[in-house]
Amino acid sequence: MSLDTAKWRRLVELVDGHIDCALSDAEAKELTSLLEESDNALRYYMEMSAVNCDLRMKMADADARPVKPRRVIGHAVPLAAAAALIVAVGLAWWIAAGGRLARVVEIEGIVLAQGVPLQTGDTIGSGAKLETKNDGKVRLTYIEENTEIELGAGSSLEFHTAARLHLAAGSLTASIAPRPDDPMVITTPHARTVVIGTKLVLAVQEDASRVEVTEGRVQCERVADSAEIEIEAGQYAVAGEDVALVARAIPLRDRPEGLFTNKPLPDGPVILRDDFENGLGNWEGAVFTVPRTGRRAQDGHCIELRPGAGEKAVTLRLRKAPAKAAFSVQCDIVAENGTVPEMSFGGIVEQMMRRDFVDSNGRLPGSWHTMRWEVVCTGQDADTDILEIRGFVAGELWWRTRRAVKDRHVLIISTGKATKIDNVLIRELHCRGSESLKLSR
Amino acid sequence: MQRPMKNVQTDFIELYALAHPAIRRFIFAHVPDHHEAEDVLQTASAVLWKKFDEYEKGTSFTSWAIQCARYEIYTTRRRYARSRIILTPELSEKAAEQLEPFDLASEDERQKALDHCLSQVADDGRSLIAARYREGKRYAEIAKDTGKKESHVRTQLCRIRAALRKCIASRLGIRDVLPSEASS
Repeated sequence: MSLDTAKWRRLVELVDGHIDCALSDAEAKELTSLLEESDNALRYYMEMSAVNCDLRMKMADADARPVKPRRVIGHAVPLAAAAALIVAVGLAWWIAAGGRLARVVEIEGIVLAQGVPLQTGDTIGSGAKLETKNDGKVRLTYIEENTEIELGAGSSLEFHTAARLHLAAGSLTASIAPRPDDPMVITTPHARTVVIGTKLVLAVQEDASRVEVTEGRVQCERVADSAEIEIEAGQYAVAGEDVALVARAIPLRDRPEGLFTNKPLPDGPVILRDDFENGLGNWEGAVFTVPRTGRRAQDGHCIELRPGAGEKAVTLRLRKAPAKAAFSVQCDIVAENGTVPEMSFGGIVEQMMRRDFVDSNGRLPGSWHTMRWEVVCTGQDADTDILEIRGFVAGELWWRTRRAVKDRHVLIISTGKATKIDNVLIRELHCRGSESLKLSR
Repeated sequence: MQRPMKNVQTDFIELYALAHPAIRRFIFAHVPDHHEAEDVLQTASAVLWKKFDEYEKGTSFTSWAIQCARYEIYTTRRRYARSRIILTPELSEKAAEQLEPFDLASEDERQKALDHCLSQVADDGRSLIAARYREGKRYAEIAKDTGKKESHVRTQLCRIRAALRKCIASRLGIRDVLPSEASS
């Protein structure tokens, strides 16, 4: 049942009074009664309560950090103690006690510090051990120098001091300020890298570590036999057993400048164009072609990804993935309320593209958007492609990420209610340096 | 085979960290007095940890936690209710069943939406929010500080909250349930 306007206005008034703890007994009963009358009224009540809760938390965060129990990142906190503390204080803040080195400026997924979930704005100190889960990533900036470190997914990094780091697993990308008197030393199980001021990427695997230098120069020492090598900008080396410690050119040295801007790269020849007027043809999945409707409606058909009864998600897979090292995927797309469309380009993609379909102009779901993804292979190892992936919505850069991919594909996943797709256009990308690479696996 | 305790704790921390904001919001919807809500949240957190072995891996931890929290809301509040219960157990059950993206959006998305919407609030509105939520001032105190009428302060804050709700819903892509004629 729905409420009439007068009742809605009264409901708004009573909800405000309730939030301010200012209702009489009779008013409280009246509010309950209105909520019982209408599901939308209950939803409104829940949403207003959530806003009230969020405001309280937001303001408490801003205010309470300097005085509440600090998050001690940098001193060993046993996991059991951390768990007990979480249970006891409801995830209260701990901040680095003394020796503040760096601040967390960006987080994706789960990142733990001494087993405690880390949050944007936290600071860390000497002794901190950061762990990112498979969907986690964290970016830190040093407080007293212009050094920035991004820890990739599935990584473990210890800060012995500001200039002594140990990467036990995973990968990091760092832009390190010049430290002539006290060079930064980053160790891994296989390598000791001395950095004087540079940009580098460090990745640890089970039996080897890879150091890639994009600016400046580093000295790399292999732990097993103390063999040393200098690695210059545009070179990489692998330190590990049965691997020659040699500086080699990064496979894609001339990375397209576009990858480091917010602008789309120029497109090349069309690989695939599909308006779904002839059915699914190029695609497979339990999805259907339906008449295209909605704002910006066009004649013809589109495809609809709507999970069946009892299913949470439905997928649409391109039968033959592009074998190009650089390509773009563009399509018109619209999602219903409560739907999360995602895009995957590889079998071990750590985190997929996602978009809840409200663009930065606040356009609501139900309107068609043009989405574009750019996929560029920037390097290859034995069985893995390193992909730079960027997503654009209505021409704006929405997402940028780098992924290691073993099993390449183009897969659209819709979780929740329904997503419609139309006018898929896959094109080669003009991308200097990628011509020699083929995504043929 | 039973999993090592350390892994269980890690699993719990990870799941709880993600679900925690939604659980908190759900409890606040039942318990507007925030001191009391914090009490309930702490009790519920401890219960969740104790009952964690009952949680079925692969299912929604948030839904499970909210079901556990619902029980705690009603048992804990019987002991020391300082504010009135608006949501009857039946309404609470319905609310738990009808959790929507507004409640379940990832914290990252939600914080981005809140930050954006707060940035749209005028300076005096943000000062009012800070006075009320950060400094915990009563409307009468804010009115005295700003030289405005208490009723004016209260109305202004209600309008800001309403605008934030609408803005967040829009950012999260959720249909507005409030008819436009009722929001004027």
